[in-house]
Amino acid sequence: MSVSAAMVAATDHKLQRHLLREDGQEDVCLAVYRRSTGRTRTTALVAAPLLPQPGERSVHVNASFTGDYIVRGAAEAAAAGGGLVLLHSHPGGSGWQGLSQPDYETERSYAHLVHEMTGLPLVGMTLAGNGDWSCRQWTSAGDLTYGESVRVVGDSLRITWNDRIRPAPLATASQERTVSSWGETVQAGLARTRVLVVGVGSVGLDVALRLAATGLVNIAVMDFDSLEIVNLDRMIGATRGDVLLARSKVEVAHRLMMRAATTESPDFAQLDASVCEPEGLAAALDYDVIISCVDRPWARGVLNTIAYADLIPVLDGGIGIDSFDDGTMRGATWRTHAIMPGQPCLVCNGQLDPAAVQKDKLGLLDDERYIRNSGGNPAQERQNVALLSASVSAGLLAQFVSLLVAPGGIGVPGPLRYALAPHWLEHLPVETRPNCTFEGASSTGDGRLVLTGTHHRARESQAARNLQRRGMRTRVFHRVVPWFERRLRL
Amino acid sequence: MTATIPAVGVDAFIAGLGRCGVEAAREGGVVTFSVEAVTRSGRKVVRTGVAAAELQAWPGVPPHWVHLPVGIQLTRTNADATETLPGWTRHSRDIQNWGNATEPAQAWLAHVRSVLQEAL
Repeated sequence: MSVSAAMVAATDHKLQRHLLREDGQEDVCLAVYRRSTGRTRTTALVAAPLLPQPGERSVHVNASFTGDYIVRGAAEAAAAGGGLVLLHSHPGGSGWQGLSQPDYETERSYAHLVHEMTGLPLVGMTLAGNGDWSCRQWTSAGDLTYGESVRVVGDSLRITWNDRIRPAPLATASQERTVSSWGETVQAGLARTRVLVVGVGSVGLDVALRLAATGLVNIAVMDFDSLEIVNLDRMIGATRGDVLLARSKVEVAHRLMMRAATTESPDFAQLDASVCEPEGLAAALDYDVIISCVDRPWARGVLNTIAYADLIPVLDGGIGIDSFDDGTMRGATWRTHAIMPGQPCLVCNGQLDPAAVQKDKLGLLDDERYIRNSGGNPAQERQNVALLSASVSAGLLAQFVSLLVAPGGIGVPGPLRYALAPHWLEHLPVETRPNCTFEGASSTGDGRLVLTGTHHRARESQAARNLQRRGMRTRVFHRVVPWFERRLRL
Repeated sequence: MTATIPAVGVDAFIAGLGRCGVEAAREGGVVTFSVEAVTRSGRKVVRTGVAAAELQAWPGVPPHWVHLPVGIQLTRTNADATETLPGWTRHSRDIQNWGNATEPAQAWLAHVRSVLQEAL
């Protein structure tokens, strides 16, 4: 398991104000964290600073603190259902910080006590004078694991990397024009950022390919669907051979991403899974940014939850087409928005109906008998948006650049809507509702709202693909199609 | 200072009803409680319920099915008798504009009362 930490910008600001003193001396404090447990990564979500009370610490160029302060902090952390972070500053430092021998001994000496009181590992963090963070985690026995990154989520996503564990990949010759657009430092950070694309239809595939071409090393695509003939007009690069071989969308996306990659060592993952199931959710928690290219309410509900609870920014978008009564086109609108603390959630900005999340989770949106009894038409087709889907992916990628690169120091723009007929780009004046459950659950990590469950539609899709693959017809195609694929463009 | 985890799930639903002066109890897989509503046959106190399984993400996501005893008949309904109490029926009802209320349990009570307006 790798280790990381994350916090919202307001927490970062409060900690910086305490730890980076005007007199230039080191300082120390505690904070409560909550755990976010992914499949291969745990993240300590720093939720609430516990600043020292008079007499609990002293500053003398270095800083020291009393054992009572640790006991008070651990007790408060335990009462809040969290763990304890011990933080100190290196005012003259920059970048990821190592541990001096005295700091090592101090943190190690409290690891057992804190674990006993909170049931969670002690996390140590260091703040460098330029605002860079570093983190590590201690077992009860005093064994140390250094973190790989610390994320600060504000209008932009600021990540400090542990260069030893996640070194910056060398920029390649094919990235020359990319690097010249924003500089080597930004590229080094961007290339290491773990990005998950959920849903690889027309929009998701386009997004994933462009991330690969930009030089990102760790990109994952998650989808449980198989490629069908009706997808070929939108999934550029997918072939009739893929359909004949009953390939999954993630297999196809992975192949195309490998071709588009410009990094020397791409580490792209194909996740044939649903984010609505616990395993899919756990896999999603391993990533720093999620791009939501799904249209079903349940999946978007889950992503809306982890954007706040687990401090993983979710970039979401969608398109709607309006027709007149005579069937001719009236217009289309597409929207993009960054979902994360400080920005309105999908419910607050009117892009997700919680009641529809429940119906989707219950399977009612796919239950033909239920739909008929409700007066609906189960065979209703979704509109094809092939010509316009690139506009949605462009909008999502622009939000991605604002989030990670912050051109001109400006982060995400807030919810955007583009109206096709008049070609208006609008900044929507949407604000978080005072009672937003999702924003209110920021940094709760594994205590998040439980929205996952068995996703029957995903299981059925995977089962149908496996059945098709075992069929004689597909097995014959497996012998023939790859031969043609090497010689012809199917 | 410590952060508090927002109250979520079945217990939060029952606690919310309690704040509204409505006592709720678990019966099997259903949380039951009574509401006073004006139906087509006048003012009535009606027992109703919600499946506990639908309250996992409360109050972020509301339940879909409104559970009612078989004796309460609605004029238009998409209903079945699965995953409810013996002698009860669950009715499909969409709730609109979820997420605005200061007290989500109050919003749910208002929803149930509006459903019961159709009761015969």
